[in-house]
Amino acid sequence: MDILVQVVISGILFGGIYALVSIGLTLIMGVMDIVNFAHGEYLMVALYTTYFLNQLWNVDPYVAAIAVIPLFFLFGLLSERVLIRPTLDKPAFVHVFVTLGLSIILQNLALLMFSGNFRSISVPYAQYSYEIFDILINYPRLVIFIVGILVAIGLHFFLHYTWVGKAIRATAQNKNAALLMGINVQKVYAITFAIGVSLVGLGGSLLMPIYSVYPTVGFQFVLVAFVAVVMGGLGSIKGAVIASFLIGLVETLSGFFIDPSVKQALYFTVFIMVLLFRPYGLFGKKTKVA
Amino acid sequence: MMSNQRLLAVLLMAMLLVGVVAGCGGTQESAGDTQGSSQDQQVKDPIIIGTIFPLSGPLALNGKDTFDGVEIARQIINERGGIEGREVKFVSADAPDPTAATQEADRLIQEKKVQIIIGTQSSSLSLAASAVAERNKVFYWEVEGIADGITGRGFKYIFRPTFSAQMMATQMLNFVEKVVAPELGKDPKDLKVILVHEDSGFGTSTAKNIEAQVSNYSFQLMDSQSYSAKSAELSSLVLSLKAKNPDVLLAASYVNDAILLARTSKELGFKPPVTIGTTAGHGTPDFVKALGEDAAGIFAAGILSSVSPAKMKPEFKALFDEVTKRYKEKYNGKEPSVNVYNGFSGAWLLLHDVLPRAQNIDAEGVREAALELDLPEGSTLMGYGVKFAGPDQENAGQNTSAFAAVMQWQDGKLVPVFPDILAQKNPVIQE
Amino acid sequence: MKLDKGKIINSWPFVIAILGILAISKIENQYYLGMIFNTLLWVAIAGSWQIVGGYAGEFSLGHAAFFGIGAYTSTLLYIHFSVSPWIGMFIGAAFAGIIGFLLSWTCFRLRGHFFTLATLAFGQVVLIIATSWRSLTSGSEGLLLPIKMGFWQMSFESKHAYVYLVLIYAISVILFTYVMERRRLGYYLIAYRENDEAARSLGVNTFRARLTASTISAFFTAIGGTIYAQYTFFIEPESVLPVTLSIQAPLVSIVGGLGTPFGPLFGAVLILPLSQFLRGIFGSSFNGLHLIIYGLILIVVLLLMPSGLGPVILKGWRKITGAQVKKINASG
Repeated sequence: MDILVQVVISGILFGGIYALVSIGLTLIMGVMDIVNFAHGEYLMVALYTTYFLNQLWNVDPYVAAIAVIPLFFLFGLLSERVLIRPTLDKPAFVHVFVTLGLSIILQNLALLMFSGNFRSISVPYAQYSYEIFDILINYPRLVIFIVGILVAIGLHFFLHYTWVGKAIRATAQNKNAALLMGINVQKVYAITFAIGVSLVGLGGSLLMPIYSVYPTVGFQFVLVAFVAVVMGGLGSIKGAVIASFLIGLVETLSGFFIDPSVKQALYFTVFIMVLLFRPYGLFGKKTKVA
Repeated sequence: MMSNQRLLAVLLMAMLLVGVVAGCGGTQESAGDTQGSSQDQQVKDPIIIGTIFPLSGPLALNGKDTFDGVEIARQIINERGGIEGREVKFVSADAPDPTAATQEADRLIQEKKVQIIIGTQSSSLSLAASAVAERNKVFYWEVEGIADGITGRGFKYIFRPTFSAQMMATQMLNFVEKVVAPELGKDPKDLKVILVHEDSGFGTSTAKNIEAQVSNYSFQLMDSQSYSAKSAELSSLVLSLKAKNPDVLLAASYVNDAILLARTSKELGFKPPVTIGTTAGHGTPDFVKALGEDAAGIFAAGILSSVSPAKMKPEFKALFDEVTKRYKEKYNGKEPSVNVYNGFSGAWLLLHDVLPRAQNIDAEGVREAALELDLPEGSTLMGYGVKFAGPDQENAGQNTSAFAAVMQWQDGKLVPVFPDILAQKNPVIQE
Repeated sequence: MKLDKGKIINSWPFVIAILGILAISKIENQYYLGMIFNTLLWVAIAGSWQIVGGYAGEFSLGHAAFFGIGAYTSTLLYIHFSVSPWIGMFIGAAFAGIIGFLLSWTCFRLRGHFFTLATLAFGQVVLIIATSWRSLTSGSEGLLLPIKMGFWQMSFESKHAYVYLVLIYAISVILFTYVMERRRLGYYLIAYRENDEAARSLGVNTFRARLTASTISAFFTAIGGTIYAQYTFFIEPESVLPVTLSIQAPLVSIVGGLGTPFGPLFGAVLILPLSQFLRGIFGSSFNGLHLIIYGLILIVVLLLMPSGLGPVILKGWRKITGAQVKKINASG
C-alpha cells in the first residue's frame, strides 16, 4: 500500500514538470493557433543557460530562474518578430516547418558549441527528499510542482483581471473582432509568444538540479507537452495543468504495474483516445469553426 | 530584373553545383597524393586507411572519443617511422546514422579507393558499413561496436579485436558468481539478481546475452526490465525495483539514463548492495561528475579504464600515459573516457602488429596477417591476447581471446578489480 | 476521361526519364549510384506522402509508420516463411493501407493541428511497439536479411538493378499523382482542400475521397520500406521508423512544390545530394554545422518561397525558353 501511495505521489510531482513546459505552449497554441515545434529547444537553451551560470559563476539554479524569465521574454519577442510573424499569413505548414527548422538549428548549434556531452550540475539539495509518513518527496520536484501551480494561478489572474490579459483572451476568441475593437493584435501575439517562451525558460531552470542537459533533451519533453496541451484543450491553462498531472500519473502507474518500456506508448494511446471522443480536449471549447 | 524568389532559387542551385564540384574535386586530390610521391626515392608511398565514426549527431559523444584514440595511434606510429618507412594517412568519414554509414563506406571505397577501414564505435553503424566492406572485399577493423551480429555473419573481411556483447555478459556473470556472492557472504543460489536495460541495440543485445547465459551459473535472474533511454523519468522503475529488493542490480544503460537511474534511486531511497553497470553508462566521466560521492562503490563492466604497471608489459603503461597526455593537451585537461583507450588499443594492434606482418598492404594481405596472429594474454593495451576466429567459423573475425574488464568507482577513480590480470585493487563490497 | 497520348509522349518529363535511364546505365561509381538510389527513393516517399498531405491537405507527421510497416512485414515474411519479397512487398503495402485507412477513418474529423499531432503520436507508438515487441521484431537489435542473390529474392549484386527498381517505383508514384490530378479523385481532393463546405454542398463525398487518398498514400509509402530493406539487408526501428523520416517526407514535398506531381522530384533532387555533400565537406571538422545550414535553408525557402522551389524553377525555365522562342519569331 505504501508503495502505491509513493507511486501516485511521484507521478503527480513529475506531472509538475510537464505542466510548466505545457502552460506556455498552450497559451501560444491557443492564442496564435500555431504549433511551435521549437518549444523543446527553448527548454534546452534555458537548461544550458542555467548550467553555465552555475558552472562559471556559481549561480544557484533557483536564482538563475529569476534571471531567465526576463531574458527569455526578450528571446521570445525576438523569435516572434523574426521567424513567427512572417509565417502567420501563410498556409499552416509554413510555420510548422519554420519552427522545425529553428529546432534543428538550435539543436546543432548546441552540439557545435557544447558537444554532445551530458552535463549536469550538483547542488546539495538536489537529491534531498522530505520524509512524510514513510513517503519520500523530493525537494526540487516539489519546488517545480509548487511553482507550476503558482504560475497557473498567476497566469489565470493575469488573463482575467488585467487589461493585457483580457486583450489576449479576446484575440484568442476572435481575432477579427479584437481588431475591430482596436486591439493591436500584432502586439498581443508578440507578448503571448514571449510569455510562452519565458515560462518554458523558467521550467528549464528549475529542471536543471534534477536532470542533465544535452543538445536533444528538448524533444521528449516537447512531445509530452503537445500531448498535454491537446488533451487539456488548446488555450486552456487549467486543462494543460490537469492533463500534465494525468500524464505523469499514467506514466508512473503504468511503468510500475505494467512495463516501463511501454508507458510512453500508453499515454500516446490515451492521447489519441481523448482526441477521438473529445476532439477539442478535456476542457477545450469550440472556439474555431472546423 | 529578377524577383527575390528567382534570385534565391538561382543561389540555391549554384550552391548545389558548388557542392557537386567540391565532391568531384576531392577525388582528384587524393589520387594526386598517391601518385606524386613515387618519384622521390626517400619518401615512400603513404598507407591510406579509411575511418568511419559518428562525429556528429547523437552518437558523436563516444564516436569522437574513439576516433581520437585511433588518431593518436596513427600519430605515434608515424613518429616512430611509420610502417616500414611508410606514413599512415587517414581519410576520415563522419557517419551520424546507418544510412550515412553505408554512403560513406561506399564513398571511401569507390572514390578514395581504400582497402582498409577502421570504424565505427556504434553497433548499428558498424553493421551497415561493414556489410558494404564485405561486398567490396575491403578489410574492416571494428574497434568498439560490440553487437554479436558484427562478427556473426560468417563474413571474411570483418575483424573485431575487442570483445563482443556475449563476452561482456559472460564477464559480468563471472564477476557475480566468483566475487560478489562470496563477498556478500551468500550462496549464489540465494542471490537475488535483477537486470535493467535501455531498449536500444546496446541494451537489448547485452540483456539478451545475459538472459541466455545465466543458466550456466548457480544464480538466477529474478527479473529483466527494459526502459527507454530517452525517458524523462524513471521513478516507476526504481519503485518497482525497490519493491523487489535485489542484492545485485545489473544495468545496461547509457550515460543519461545511468545518471537518472542513480539519482532517482537516491531520491527514493533505493540502494542495492551491488550495482554493476557498463562502461557505456555507469563507467563514464560524465557519470561520476554528475553523481559525485554517490558514484562510489558502483561497478562498471566493459572497456579497461587504466593499465597497471605491475601486471602488464611496461610499454603499454607508457603508451597509456602517452595517450592520456595527448588527449588532455588537445582538450584542455579533460579526462579521456575509456573509448579513447579502446580506440587506441584497436588501432595500435592493427598498425603495430598486423600491418607490418602483411605481405602486401591490401585487403587480402592484411586479412591473412590478421588470421596468423596468435598472441598471449597481455599483448594489447586492453590486456587480452589475440586470436581471430577463422573464416569457416560462425563467429569469423572475432578475437576469441578478448575479454571485458570489471571496474569500480573508488575515490572518484574507475579502478579495475577483475579479472586478476587487470585488477589493481580489491573490490569493496559492503553487506 | 481519356488521356491525350500524343501530349504525354511529347512532354519533357518522359524525355528526362529516358535520358536518366541511359545515364544511369553508364555510371559505374557505386557511391554515385547509391546517392541516386537514395534520391529516387525519397522522390517516391515524398510523392506518396503528398497524395494525402498535399492533395487532401491532411498534414501527416507519422508516415514513417507506414514505411516501417512495409519494411518489417516483407522482411519477417521473407526471414520466417521464405516468402519472396516481391509478394511480401504487396502484402506489406496492403497491410499498411488498411492501417492507414483505420487511422484516417478515426482521425480525419480532427481539425488541422490536432490531426497532425495525432499522426505524430501514432508514428511514435509504432516505433515503440517495434522496439518493445522483441519476440517479433528483435527490438532494437534489428533484423538481418539473408544475403542470397537472385531476382525472386529481390537481392542484387549490382546497384544498377536497385536503382532501376526504385526508378520504376518513383515513376509509378509520380505518374499516379499526375493521372489522379486529372481525374475524379483528384478533383474531389482539390475541392476539399479549397473549400470543403462548398464541395460537400455539391454532393461530393469528401470524406470518402480523403480516405481513399490516405489508403493509397500508406500503400505506396510501405513499398518504399520493402525496397529499402532489400537494399540495405538490415532493418531496425531507428532506421525505418524514426520521426526524422516522418518529417523529411513532407519537407521534400514542400521545398519542391506542394500539390504538384513533380514537386517531390525537385525537392528530393535539391535536398538529398545537398545534405550529403554538406556532410562530406563539413561533417568531420565542425560537428553539426551542415545541419545548421540545412535548417537555415529550410527557413529561408519557406519564408521566401512557400510555394516551393519547383514552381519557381518551372516558371523561370518557361520564361527562358519562352523568351528564346519570341526572339526567333521576331527575327524570322
